[in-house]
Formats: sequence, C-alpha cells, structure tokens
Amino acid sequence: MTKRIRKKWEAESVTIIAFVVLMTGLLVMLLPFLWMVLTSFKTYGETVQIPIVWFPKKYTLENYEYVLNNMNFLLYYKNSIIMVVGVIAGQLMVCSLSGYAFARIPFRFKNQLFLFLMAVLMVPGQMTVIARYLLIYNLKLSDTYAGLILPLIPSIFGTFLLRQFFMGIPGDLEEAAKIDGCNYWGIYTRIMLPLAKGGLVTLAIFTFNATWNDLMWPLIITNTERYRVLSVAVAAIKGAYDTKNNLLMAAGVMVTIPCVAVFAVGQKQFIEGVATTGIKG
Amino acid sequence: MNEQKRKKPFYQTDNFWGYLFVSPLVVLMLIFSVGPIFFSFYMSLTEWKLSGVGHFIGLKNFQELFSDDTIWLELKNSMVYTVFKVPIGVAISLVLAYFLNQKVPFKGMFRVIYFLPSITMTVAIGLVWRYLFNSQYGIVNVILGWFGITGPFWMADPKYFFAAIIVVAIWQGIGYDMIILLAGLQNVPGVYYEAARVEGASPFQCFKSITVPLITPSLFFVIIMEFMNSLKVFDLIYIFINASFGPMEKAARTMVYGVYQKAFVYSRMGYASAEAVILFVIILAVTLIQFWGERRWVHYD
Repeated sequence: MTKRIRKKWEAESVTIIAFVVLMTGLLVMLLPFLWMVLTSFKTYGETVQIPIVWFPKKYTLENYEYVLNNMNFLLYYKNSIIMVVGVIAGQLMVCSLSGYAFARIPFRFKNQLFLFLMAVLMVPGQMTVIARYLLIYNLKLSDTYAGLILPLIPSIFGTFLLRQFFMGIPGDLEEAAKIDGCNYWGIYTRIMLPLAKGGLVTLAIFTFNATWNDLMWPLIITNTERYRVLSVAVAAIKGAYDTKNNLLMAAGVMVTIPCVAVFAVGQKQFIEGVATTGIKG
Repeated sequence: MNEQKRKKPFYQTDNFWGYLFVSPLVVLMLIFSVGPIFFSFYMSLTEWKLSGVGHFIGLKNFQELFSDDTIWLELKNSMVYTVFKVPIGVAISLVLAYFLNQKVPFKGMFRVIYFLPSITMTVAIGLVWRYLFNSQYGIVNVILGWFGITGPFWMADPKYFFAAIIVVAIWQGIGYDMIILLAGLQNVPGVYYEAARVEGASPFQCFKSITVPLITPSLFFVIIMEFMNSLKVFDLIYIFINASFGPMEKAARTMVYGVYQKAFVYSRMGYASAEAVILFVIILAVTLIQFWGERRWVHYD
C-alpha cells in the first residue's frame, strides 16, 4: 500500500518538476523577444537609463518610422521577398521533378546518382563558397537577383524531402494512369503534384526560413544597396547605429515578424518536418 | 536493335523520363556545387586575387597558413565553441524533451515557443543578445544581480565575449534539438516504462536505463548535426564581431570567419581556399569518426 502511494507521488513529482523546469525555460526563451519588442517602442533616452526601464512610458512608433524611411528598409524588404520567392519557386520545381524521379521512375544508375548526391551533401557549402562566388562574379551576375537566387536552387535536402513524400503516395493511381496511356509528365503534373501538396508546403516553409535568414551568400554577392537584403542590412546598421538600441530592436522586430508569421501558419508542417528528419537520421 | 525499337521508342522509356526529370537538379548542381568543390581544391594551390586568373604556387598557401598564428587561433576557437556548445546544448535539449514527454499541460505551446529562436534570423538574435549582455544597460547582469552575482563586462572582456556567444548559440539551438529528441522519445513504447515501474525503478533509473539507450538513433543524429553546424558557425560570430579588430575579434574568430575574411575582406581567394580545404578535411574526419562511433553505441531495434 505505501509502495503504491510512493510510486504515485513519484510520478506526480516528476510531472511537477517537469512543468516548473519547462516554464523556467520558457521564460528564458521568451525574455529576449519580449525585451526586443519592448525596446523597439522606447525612446533613446529610455534605453540608456539606469536603473533600466522595463516598460516604455509611452509606446512610440517613431523607431519603426525611422527604420522604414531613413534606413531604406522598404527596399530591403522588397529584395528579400524577391530572393525568397525566387528560391522557393525554383526549388519547388527542380526538387519536385527530381524527388519524383528518385521515388518512382526506375531509371539506370539511379542508386549511384543518389549516393553521389549524398556525398555532395556532406561537403559543407562554406568550403565551396569562394569558388561559387568567383563563378557568379565572372558570369557578371554579382549584384543581380539571378546571382542571389540561382546558386540556392539545386537543393539536395529538398529533393530528399520530396522523395519521401512521393514514396508515401500509393502506387495504384499511377498504374491506372499508365494503363490509360498517361506518360510520366502527365502522372507528375496531374496526379503526383496535387497529392504531394503537403510536402511542397513543408519544403516551401523550410526554404523560406533558410533563405530569409541567410547572411553569408547575400553578404558576399551583393555590394550595392540596390540588391541588399534584410539580413545584410541589419548586420550593416549594427555598425552604424551601434548604441541606438531602440532603432536596432525595431529593425530586429521587423525582420523577425515575417519569420514568425510563416512559422505561425506552417508550424505543424515545420515541426513535423524537423521531427521526421531526425527519426530517419 | 529492331526488337528494342519495336518495344518502345526512346522517348517513352523509363530511362528517358528519369534523366529528364533529374536533369535540372543535376545540371545546376554540377555548376554550383560539384564544380566549385573541385575548383576549391585547385584554388588552394594558387595565388588568386579577385579579378583575373590565379597562378599555380603549389603548397605555398598551406605553408603560409600554418606559419600564421591566426589559423591556430581559429582552430582553437572553433574547437572551444564545439566542445562547449554541443554537449551542453544536447544535454539541455534531452532533459527538456524528456520533461516535455511527461504528462504536462500546454505541450503544444512549449514546443512552439522553444522552437522560436531556431526560426529567427541569427543576425537579429545577435543584435538582441549584444544588448542583453551590455554591462550597463543589459538585463543579463540585472538578473544576475537579483541573485547577488556581479556580472562581468561581457562585451568588453575577450573571455566572456566568446562565452556569451556560446551561450547565445546554445539558447538558439536547443528548441530544434528538443523537437528531434522528443520525436525519438515518442517512439519508445510505453510498455518498457510500465514494466520498469512494476519492478520498482525510480524515474531517474528509467531515464538512464530505458530512455537514453532507446533514443540513441535520434541522439546520434542530433550530435552529428550539431557538430557540423558548430564547425561551420558564421552568422553569429560575424554579427558579434561586427567588423571590429583587436582582442574581441581574436577571441571569437572561428574557421569559417577566417575563410570569409581572407577571401572577401582581403581578397586572397587562393589563400582562403587553402583554409577552406583544411576545414573540409576536419569535417570529413569528424564525420568518419562519428560513423565509426555509431556502430559502437547506437542501438537500432
């Protein structure tokens, strides 16, 4: 009898400890975001007051206005959006075609090609970034949208991800279509793409996140302001406005909001996608 | 020949369609990934400025690299970063995933909010945390003060500067790892725990003897991924150093930062490629060691 009570108590205490730890961690996770948002509404004076001011007296939008108008953020938004849309569109096309082929078409040397892609995937992109830069530079594509977008399109990760999705689609439909005289292009466009919508959305979300947040490639491939994207812009204003934390935090909020919005819409696919990549190893 | 033709014209064969469908990927990959891999090796043997073509100088870049102090600094920093970030990050993620797998309320909320830092632009995270670590106006030292701890000058003392970067990296990464480990935990059949309970095992014993061994595949994946990402860290380092020179830069510069600086600040493409090749060799070695280690301590059912 006492043993049972002890066990029940133990199980409950684990739950309580778990909850307390998780809540504490939650605060640690959220505090920097809260601080960023609060500071973005403060005046400069409030950011350098001692003792520190937690909440602004009056929530001002001046910092946001300044970032949008005087720091040219509208242009950087436009560039970031063009880059992200271009990469997503390109990846969805290229990766869905190859993902479908790897999942469903029995062509020669398929397995060898697949292993080759795995090997390429192991080579870190940072190692080859210099050669890729010189290539784009010599093609006269630095400081263009094409230069920003094209090298990011051939995604092996995207191919593998969509291959998984295509493999999960039952084969009967495909067989029926083949008997009706449908070729692979017809099957791909009319049957497979509509059924793999979940996979396409998952890839789009992953790609949005990676491209929107990427710093290194746009940093080296663009020099003029005309093609500067948000990540590079934020890194640059860090130097120019080092102590103006109210402005920096407003800029931080502005680049974070689109990420959070996309995550809010697609968090289920996103978290599931991350979880499955881990299980498959 | 005749028979083959009668069977199917070429454009109707599986081979034709297969190659057609993979060709956009393969062509773009050859141009933007595979070509650059080979070219990087070649470039590491040349003296190459930004414009024009480099000339072959053999192993001179490597000789210069190893007689230069900065590469040793970068190697050391990359190693320190990895050695602290990976074990601490994975351990915290594992504990959090274990707790999240208990019967706690608000599971969905926890998952989403812990994940938030991993989807946020690292550059923005760098900005916020630099401000949080500010010794005058930052809240990190204020909060440490509540517990009677006098916080150091995080952003002005080289040692604490690098420690602060590692703390931020851990903070940013645990949500992602936690999700993967949680998925692994959810695959562990509940009957194991029930059996252990009947035998009178304590929760800690369950964690040590059931949970950890059974999620070694997920754990292994997370550790490999973390290792690779740590060796390749750039954004966070870049935003913290932020074009400054001197002791802070020295304290925090890692290998990828070194490659970036040599190539795109000093325009020494060949010299930078040599360092990139060394980075590649290190990553390859780590991968091989880990695959060898996988056989020793990963349990697949």
